[in-house]
Amino acid sequence: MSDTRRRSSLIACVAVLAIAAFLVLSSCATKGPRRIVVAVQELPLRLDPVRVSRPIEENACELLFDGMVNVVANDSGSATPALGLAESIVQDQFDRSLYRITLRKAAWHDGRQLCSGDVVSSFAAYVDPANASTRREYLLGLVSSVEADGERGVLVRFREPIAEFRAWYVLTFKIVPREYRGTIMPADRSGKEGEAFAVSPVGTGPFRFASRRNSEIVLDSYPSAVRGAPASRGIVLRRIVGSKERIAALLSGKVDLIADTGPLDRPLLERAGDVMVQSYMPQAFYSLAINVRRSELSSPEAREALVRAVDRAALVPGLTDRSSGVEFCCGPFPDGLLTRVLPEYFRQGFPNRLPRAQALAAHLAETSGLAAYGRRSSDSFSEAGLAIAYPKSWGEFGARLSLGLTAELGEAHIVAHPSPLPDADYAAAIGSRSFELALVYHEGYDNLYSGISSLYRSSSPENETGISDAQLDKLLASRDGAVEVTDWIRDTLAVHDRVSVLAPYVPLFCVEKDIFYRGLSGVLIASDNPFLTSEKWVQAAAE
Amino acid sequence: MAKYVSATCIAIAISLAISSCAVFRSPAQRAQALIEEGSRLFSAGYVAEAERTWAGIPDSEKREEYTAYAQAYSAYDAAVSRAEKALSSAGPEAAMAAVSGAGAIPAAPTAVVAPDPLGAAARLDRVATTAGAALASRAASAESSADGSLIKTRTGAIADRVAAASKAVDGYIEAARLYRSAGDRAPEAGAGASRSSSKAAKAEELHKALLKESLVSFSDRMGEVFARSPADTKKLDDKALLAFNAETDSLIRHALAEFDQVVAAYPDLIDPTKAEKLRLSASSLSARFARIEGAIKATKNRGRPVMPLLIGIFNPQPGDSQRSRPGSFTGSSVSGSDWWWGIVDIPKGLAQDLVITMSDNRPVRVYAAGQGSSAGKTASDLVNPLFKVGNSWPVLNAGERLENGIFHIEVGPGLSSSYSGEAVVYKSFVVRTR
Repeated sequence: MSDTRRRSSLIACVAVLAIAAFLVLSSCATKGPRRIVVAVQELPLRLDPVRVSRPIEENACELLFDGMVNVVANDSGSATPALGLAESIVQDQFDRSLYRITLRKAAWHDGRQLCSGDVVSSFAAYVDPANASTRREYLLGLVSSVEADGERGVLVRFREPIAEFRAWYVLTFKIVPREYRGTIMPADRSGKEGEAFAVSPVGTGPFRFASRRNSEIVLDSYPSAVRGAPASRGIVLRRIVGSKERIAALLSGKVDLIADTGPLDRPLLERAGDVMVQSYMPQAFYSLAINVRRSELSSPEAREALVRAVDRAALVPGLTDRSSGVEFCCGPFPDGLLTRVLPEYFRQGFPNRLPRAQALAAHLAETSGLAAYGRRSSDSFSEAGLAIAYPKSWGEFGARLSLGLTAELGEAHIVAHPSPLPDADYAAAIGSRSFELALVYHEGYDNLYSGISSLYRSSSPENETGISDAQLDKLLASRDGAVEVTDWIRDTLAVHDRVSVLAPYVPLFCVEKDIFYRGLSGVLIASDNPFLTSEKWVQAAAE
Repeated sequence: MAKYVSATCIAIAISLAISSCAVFRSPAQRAQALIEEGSRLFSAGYVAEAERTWAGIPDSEKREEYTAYAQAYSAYDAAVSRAEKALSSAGPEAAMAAVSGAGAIPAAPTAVVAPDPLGAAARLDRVATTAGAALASRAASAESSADGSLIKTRTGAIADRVAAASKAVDGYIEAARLYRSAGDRAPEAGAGASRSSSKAAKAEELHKALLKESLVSFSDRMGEVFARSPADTKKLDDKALLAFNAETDSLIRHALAEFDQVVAAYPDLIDPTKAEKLRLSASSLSARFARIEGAIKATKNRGRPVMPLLIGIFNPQPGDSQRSRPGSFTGSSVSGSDWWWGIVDIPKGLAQDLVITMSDNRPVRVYAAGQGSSAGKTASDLVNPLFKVGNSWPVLNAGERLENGIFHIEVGPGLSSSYSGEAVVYKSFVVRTR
């Protein structure tokens, strides 16, 4: 072999080895942790826990922020409180309404050290009426003051002696920094500083904000997080509006997890063998909104006819007639609310004030003129009878549910028909109250359904039915301010009764919600917030 | 004796002389002679003889004047003698009273009579001066003692402070009285009486203020009594427990009676509505003893009692009629279970929680009546594990779930032998998990 040929062979060998090494290293690199992509129906507008107004915003803040106490998913799948930014929480043994909290040595995502002033300013922000925080009344009802006690000490004084197990839950409000971009944040966060923070926030959570585009928000892992360094490189929230498109993205590997799913999506995904599913009963419910401002639906008798006509179990065969995974509503709250959140206080659910009674429903429909209206052509819609609007994005579920309702109403001689609308048109119809009947889904409530008042308050922008009742307004205000269980039970039962009389909705049901994911480990869904264990999520291949 | 014999002889001679003269003198002359003779005797200290002489004065008016004077002086002298005797035997107060009783020395009807031939006035003055000085000294001592009592009103338990104030008031009143008794015989008495009276008035104001404070804090103090604990709970059998319960009941009833007495004695001290509220608060405590007694007798296999045995909602605000303290217990166990029991007092319809908090992380179970100890085969632990935080074990809605409010605590073994725990009742507040 000549030198030239030997040299050529040597060069070739080196090149092969180099290519092989590159391929091996590339292979290793692809198996390392990467960002996990989560498909969501909508992106959070604001990432400020003080001012969140949508479920996705509340959930996303779990990725970015900590409370002094965090709600975590324990090994048995239950959501329980655990120390977060607090290193210790000590109840004063004399009056038992004072809690002394020592904060951990922790740093914000921008490098500044966490201090007691952050907690004090956070509380001030939550209770500032300008921020319209959903936690304001609850916190003010229980906490009288939050004060700094040295650099890392915080004194939280409750209005009355309170047991530790209840105080810890109150201390779960997320802590936001006192300083942002070198300046002190005002308590009123509705100005430009607050808006800037909500767009590009700084927290202490396991993920830190990296970037935002129209269709996605990118969060990087924060290795110094008090919950421990995340197992993944980060999380991407990617907006994919359509249910089918989200499923397709999961199956094609473009996303790792779907947080927003429909009740009938499971069969579609069960066919793909490697898709994992975890289900939970969300704090959410479906109902049929009645536009009470329309003359034919303005009488309580007409609305009672609608409520009494419906057999909820018969609405979507295969889903609503299951023995588990579905819970009916006979009023404004799911029937199991009391027995679920207060099992020590209740052994049975709400009394059903308007049980199904087809003959009575038919009679009421006749006497109220609803039946006669239904037999005429609708003013607004081409088909005869009452139009049941629903968003087309609900797909098969919307179609089957509206058909089921049409059939149930028909048995009571109330003529109705499904009216699928493009999502934007549907939203516009709800917003302008230009519908007759509309299927609605309300979600994102806390365990007590505290936010439900906004659906019924006379002046609320979220009052889609147009119901206006001074007595109900008063009851809702009392319930919103109730912090003692005795008062809360009294007010909740009173609201249930009054709403049953007014009947602005045909209450329907809650169904289990599914979270689908592929190739991930460490996922544990314990509540409406899928991100409780997000710092443990990791691609199975990267483990 | 010789003095009396010679006086009698003189009197006989004088009588003979007078008799012989009488034959020759007018009645006026005879009267004048008797007056002079009596005066001479009186001035010589023979008061009784003088009286007898003056008794012979024919002019009834004159006779009365002179004999009355002699009698008055004799009485004055006797009073002085009593004062002297009182000073030596009954003390200065009695002496001063006798001095006052003696009054002023009678005025002599004529210049020929030497006043106070027996020196009674001077003797009386000596008695008064000596007694006055002694009284002023006692007054100063009483005042000083009251000052000491006043200092004791500044600190200590409210009942002791009230007693000290009362003692100070009494002391100053006594001092003022003694100073006044001393009168002008002691130079400092006038100022002392005035000063002590002023101090007495101020002490009385303080006494009332303390009494009011005592009334207002009554329910708190009764709460303390209710929450008292026997010295040794380890050997507290049923008999001892019942006795302790009865004793506490008695203490509260006794205090209640005292409360009523004070309210009756000082009706303006506290608003009647408030007084009734406080009274009812203490009465309700007292009424609970029957419940405790019933529970002790009825409940079997219950373990040792937490103290206080019956607990209501915890509230440390002073004056709050609902105030209650934790039921506490201490023990030692490294293997097996220890059993404790107590009673919650939760009004029907109110959502309140019982929380058992331990000093360490040993396990705890809580059962309703009849399910503890050896009766435990159907026992159902009432602790909600979802809400367990740290070493606190909560029983939610305890009032509804514990029959007659009776609870049994099963304390499991821990790493260390000794442990302590508390049973506390809290209001049930709603918790939001989002």
